[in-house]
Amino acid sequence: MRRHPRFLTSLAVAVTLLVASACTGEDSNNGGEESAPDDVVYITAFGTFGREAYAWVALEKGYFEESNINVEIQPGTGTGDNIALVASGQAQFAVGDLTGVTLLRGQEAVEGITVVGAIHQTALIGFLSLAETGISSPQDLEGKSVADSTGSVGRLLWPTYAELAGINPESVELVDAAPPDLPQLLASGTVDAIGQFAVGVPLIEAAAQGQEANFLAYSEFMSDLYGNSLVTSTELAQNDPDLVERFRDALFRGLEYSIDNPQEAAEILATYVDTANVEVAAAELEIMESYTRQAGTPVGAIDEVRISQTIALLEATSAIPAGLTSEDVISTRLTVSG
Amino acid sequence: MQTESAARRAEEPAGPGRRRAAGSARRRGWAAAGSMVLLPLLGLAVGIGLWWGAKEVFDIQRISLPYPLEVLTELRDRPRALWENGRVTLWESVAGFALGSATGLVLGTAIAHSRIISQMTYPWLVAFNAIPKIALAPLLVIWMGFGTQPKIAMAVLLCFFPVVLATTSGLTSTPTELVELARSLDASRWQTFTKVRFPYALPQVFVGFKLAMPLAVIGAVIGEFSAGQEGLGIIIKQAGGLGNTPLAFAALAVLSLMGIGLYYAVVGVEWLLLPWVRATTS
Repeated sequence: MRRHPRFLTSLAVAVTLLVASACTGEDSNNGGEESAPDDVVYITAFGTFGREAYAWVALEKGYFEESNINVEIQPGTGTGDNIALVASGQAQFAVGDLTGVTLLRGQEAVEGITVVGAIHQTALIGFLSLAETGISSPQDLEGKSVADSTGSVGRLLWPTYAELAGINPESVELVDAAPPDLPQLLASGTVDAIGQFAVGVPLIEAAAQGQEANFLAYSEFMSDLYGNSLVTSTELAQNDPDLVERFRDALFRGLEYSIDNPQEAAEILATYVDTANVEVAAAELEIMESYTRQAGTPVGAIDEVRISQTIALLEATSAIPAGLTSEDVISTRLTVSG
Repeated sequence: MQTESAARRAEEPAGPGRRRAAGSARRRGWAAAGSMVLLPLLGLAVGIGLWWGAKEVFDIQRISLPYPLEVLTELRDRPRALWENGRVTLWESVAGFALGSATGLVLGTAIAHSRIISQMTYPWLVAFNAIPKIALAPLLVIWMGFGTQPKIAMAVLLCFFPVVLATTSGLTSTPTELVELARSLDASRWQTFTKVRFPYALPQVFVGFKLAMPLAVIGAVIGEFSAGQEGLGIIIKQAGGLGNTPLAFAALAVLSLMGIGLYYAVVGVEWLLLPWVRATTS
């Protein structure tokens, strides 16, 4: 009988020690060891052009690794497809044109996504032509042919641009073409102008074997429009805002480094993408700097007022019905205010 | 009873005459083999000549049509971009072809043997085949992700229908007298299928395979156009977007070589598996 109390006491001590060591082990795991990195799929806006190099720069410079994120970069195919992949969960982050995202949210064509940062503070969309066509002002587009992809933001905002620029839209022949075909259509003289990003000028000039290109920017008349933005799912933004912030910050570090060091960024891109043209990529990043940075605004920041003004513009042009708010488009909690 | 070849040999003169005949046959064999290689190369040379001539005569811009030498330069200078990505497309094509062919064989056999299955599925197969599969490519990525699965799936979608059609057609064209002969020998349905119907259908089935193989390559490339980081489709898309038409053409050249190689691989397998077809047809 005297052994039983001793046995029970020993057992109690052993159990206590076991539980204490387990708790200590768990605490030391949280405090001392790093948790496994988060696996993330990121989709570029469109393809692997120089303007997308910042993602590979962030990867190469270790910004993602420092944030404990393991990133797989996939070439994108445009705003619509990109945000569909985020909404479906196949990707955690993607780049999409902010006006395009606003349009899709306003038309209720997609849900479950939210914007957490602006890649470009000013929209890059516009019309690009070769100097020999003589298109140097918006009025010169009258009587000319312009190719663009059907669902592009430029095509959707064309009536508004024409009205603000004082162009008769009926006098311009609009031709539908897929984005990869646009440089060839312009360089071959099949059309007089194409819808393009401002950063596409070096690529077009190279494709046209050195001919000079002219660019007419939408931002001349619609300065509130943002360009590309970083999109994630509302589920990830709610369940793991820390991951969203870490990824956003690492990506924008890569973006700042790229526009500050365009040549190096282009060379980094070429180490990851076999088909990259370093010269063209560096030139794209040099142009992109003035669209990405704005005096007094942190890189990546979003001004909620401008989002509201963009929504108002789209409502005024009947592109979306009334009722959309800025909270339906951006995550006010996770965006940096600008 | 003598076989045909024995009878022919019996008619030939003996001794030196037979040796001369044998030598003449070998020389004809070498000439035939040589023409199989030389004539296509000659055709290629003529095509390249016409291509270069068109560039010179019509002054076609590089972005629309590069010179042949520019394409060869890209083939030489970008081995990693072209051949390593070619391996990825090759794997996707072969995997898609294998899965598509297996699916087509099973479905074609079921349709040939069951009127209910035939009437239930055949019209919808035809309707599905009329859908432009490229429209499904982005959806496959949404459903399956960024790996090789959506590309293999696209290859399957493009290549299985010719195999279904060929299998059904082959299995339903067995001569009645052969089936009755099998029945008169108390063959079971399975024996009739394995020893009479299926062997008789094999030439038709291989026609389906030969149609399916290039379609599998096309399907893999369509899948790569939609998403991914590797494959000749990616190279073509990226090079085209950058206006680097010589590189895009170089990727197309590698794709063409791959398509030729895979097609003749199927022809080779047919030659090995169906010797009786050569012996009984002219």
